[in-house]
Amino acid sequence: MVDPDTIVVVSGLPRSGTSMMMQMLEAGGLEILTDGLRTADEDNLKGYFEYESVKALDTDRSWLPEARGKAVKIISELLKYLPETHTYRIIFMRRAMEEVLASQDRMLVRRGVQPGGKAENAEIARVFRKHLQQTEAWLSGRPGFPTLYADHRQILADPAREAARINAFLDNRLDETAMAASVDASLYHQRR
Amino acid sequence: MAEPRFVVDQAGNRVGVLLDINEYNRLLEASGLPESRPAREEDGASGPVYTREEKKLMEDRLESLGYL
Repeated sequence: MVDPDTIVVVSGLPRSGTSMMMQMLEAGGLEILTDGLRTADEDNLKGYFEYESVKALDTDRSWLPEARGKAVKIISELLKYLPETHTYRIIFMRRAMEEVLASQDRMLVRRGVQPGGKAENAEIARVFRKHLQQTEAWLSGRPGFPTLYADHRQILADPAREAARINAFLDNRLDETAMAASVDASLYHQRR
Repeated sequence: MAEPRFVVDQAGNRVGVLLDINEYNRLLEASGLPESRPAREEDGASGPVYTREEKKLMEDRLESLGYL
């Protein structure tokens, strides 16, 4: 559906809407690189669309050729490990920091980890903002990493418009009606 | 692996080789040569400028969430 040599990378902070984007791309007809190991749960009712090997991207990139012509989810912290030997399109999710952190806290609780509370979240928010600023600056200086920024809230507010924008970025090869229809705003509870 | 095709000079000596791009990338990945290295190395010139504490905080959070 996309250029067979291109790897579509869905990135962003954890809980910024990357799974929602993967779901949209899959609905639009793009093949997803996932191993299904992390299955759907209360935090992601429609699944995580993750690929376990991504976690070891810093040491093992041998699987990357498998991702050609497909979409793969890679959190923003790991983007720096992508070699410039491949062709990419990056879809980078943005979401209000307080929503990201609230969603992460819920996920931590479900994983049996006690969230750090207000002070730790304030510090995490500061570090995440710095990380995003640096990552976006880095991406903007890399012609080999063309990037489209997609906003979680805007997708929920107007999925058809956002699906069209994403589809245009991917050379209009996807079914944007199906992409838009896959967005279920009722699943997202962290809006502030 | 596809059979490599060789480029030869007028005397028939092999002076080059044509490889399938996937095979080339696989070999490059395995070689560890600079072109196969990550686009941004940790602590490299254009790398992140986190303090040690920030890095730990970020990594701890990502690990706790199951993303590292």
